[in-house]
Amino acid sequence: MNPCEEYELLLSARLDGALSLKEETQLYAHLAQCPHCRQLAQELEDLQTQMTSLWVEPPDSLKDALASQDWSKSASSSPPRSPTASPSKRRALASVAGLRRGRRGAGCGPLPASPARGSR
Amino acid sequence: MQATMDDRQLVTLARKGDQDAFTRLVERHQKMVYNLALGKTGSHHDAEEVTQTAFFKAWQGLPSFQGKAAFSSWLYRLTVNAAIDLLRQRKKHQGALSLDDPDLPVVPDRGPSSEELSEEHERRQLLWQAIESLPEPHRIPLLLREIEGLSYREIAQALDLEEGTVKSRLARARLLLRKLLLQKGNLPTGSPSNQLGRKGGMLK
Repeated sequence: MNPCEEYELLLSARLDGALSLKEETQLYAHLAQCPHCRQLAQELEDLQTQMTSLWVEPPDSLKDALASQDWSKSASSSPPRSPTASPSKRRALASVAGLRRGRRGAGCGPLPASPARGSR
Repeated sequence: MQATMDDRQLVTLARKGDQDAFTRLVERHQKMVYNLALGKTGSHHDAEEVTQTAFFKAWQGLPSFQGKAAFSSWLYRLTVNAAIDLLRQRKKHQGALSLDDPDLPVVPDRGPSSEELSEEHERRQLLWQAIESLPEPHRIPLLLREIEGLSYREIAQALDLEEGTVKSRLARARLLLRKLLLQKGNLPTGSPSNQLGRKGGMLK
């Protein structure tokens, strides 16, 4: 068995801010004397940084269109928007979606802001 | 009320025709779906279309969705299929476009250069290729954690797992992903730090 295996689990939990005080103390004591795990810790951090840098929020126009979609009326065999809708058509659709959303009243407001990482 | 419901409860309501419950599922997963679609297609325009199609197919497929797999796993597959379908359509129609076609994507007049965009696209594509090659039991918890920011408890609820299992699958997923990206030379690494700082959980 890899002697560092239990610390690999802790290195991952560390990225999620999910270490107990005891685990954190154990992990840092180990890192202080294990170059392999220090390297691994760095690489896992780099991996998370890289992933985070590539995630994007969906455009507001898309969120609005999805939030105001009447799914019960989308029972035909094609999606609600043409796959080749031009940017101008999409802008028009987005503005209509915004108007429709406004008419739906309470309970259909804008999406809540995403909570800070690790706060949930 | 629906904000606190897990996917399974929302799916049960949506299967009975509750649109608000389905809209809540859409809000919860749209970031994962959109990013996956963007990784597959490389185009924001196409990613929007794929996202809409995937949710549309999900709504249509709810009556036959048995709930044996988690909703997020099912949605992931629907998104991949929608992206593949769209790319096939694009390929089919390639060459049929003319320069005055009104549906040609608009070239942005500011923002990142095309070189930067293409580099970012390449990195995104390589990342998603690696994510896709993860075993599904490891891939979905990773996406729920990394993209949707769910806690271990929320992931455990969504996937009907123990929190300890979520923790170990996340670790396994990250280790596998790191290995895959290192093999492809696509993990820019910083030099290992000798100064182990604890603030914010960062080494640097």
